[in-house]
Amino acid sequence: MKKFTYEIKDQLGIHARPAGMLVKEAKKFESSIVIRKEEKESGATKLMALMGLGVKCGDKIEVEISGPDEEQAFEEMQSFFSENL
Amino acid sequence: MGLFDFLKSENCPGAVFPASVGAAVKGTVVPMEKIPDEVFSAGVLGTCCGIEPEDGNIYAPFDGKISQLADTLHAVGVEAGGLELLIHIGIDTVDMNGDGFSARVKAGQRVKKGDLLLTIDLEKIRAARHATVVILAVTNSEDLTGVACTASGSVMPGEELLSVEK
Repeated sequence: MKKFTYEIKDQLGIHARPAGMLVKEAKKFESSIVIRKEEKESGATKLMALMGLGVKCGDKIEVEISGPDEEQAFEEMQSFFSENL
Repeated sequence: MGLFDFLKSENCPGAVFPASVGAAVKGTVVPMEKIPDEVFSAGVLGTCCGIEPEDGNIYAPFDGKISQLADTLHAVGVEAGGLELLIHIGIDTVDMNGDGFSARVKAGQRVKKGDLLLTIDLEKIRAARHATVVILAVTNSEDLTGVACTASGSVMPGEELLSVEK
């Protein structure tokens, strides 16, 4: 299991468009990826639940990855967040 | 098992498949591939269908529960066990920060088909230079065998827009 925290820099946070892109990215991996904001969490492939986290600019989220390709997913999810959010 | 589990099941009524998603607004159907935003037209958010609205009243497309309501009120999620739908008002309207949008429901609330969910000021969306198309996207399309847009031309609220097979 690997995890990282990320502070959201996108002004609009995780709304429909980035949530859709995030789901698409997360589906590339076999590993399960969980996004956590404080006490709430969502699978990274669950669009509606992700949007329901209400992640805003400045929020710190935790991304937890576990599975056979977690090393690769860890690297690529980090790049995804820094490039898109 | 928790003491209040029975409330959860009551809060989330099941969809009966094949399910039907009604038009959420009066207007003209815009096929998925004609929606002027790739995130919708390419199906990133699931199979969807648009309606170019004639007025700003957004109604529940089926009996279910409000699964999420964006703080900016430009998008609302409705679910009925096994069917998850996102109603997204306009393109890039997230940057309007709720100006021109008002909610008639709260997250978690149960709704009946035809209940008023949101009222929107189409003029404000136009003034902000955004497309006004209202998009209904079945966000868990991948878990379902068939989601298809069944309407074309003019639709009234509640008329079938999408059909969904489990």
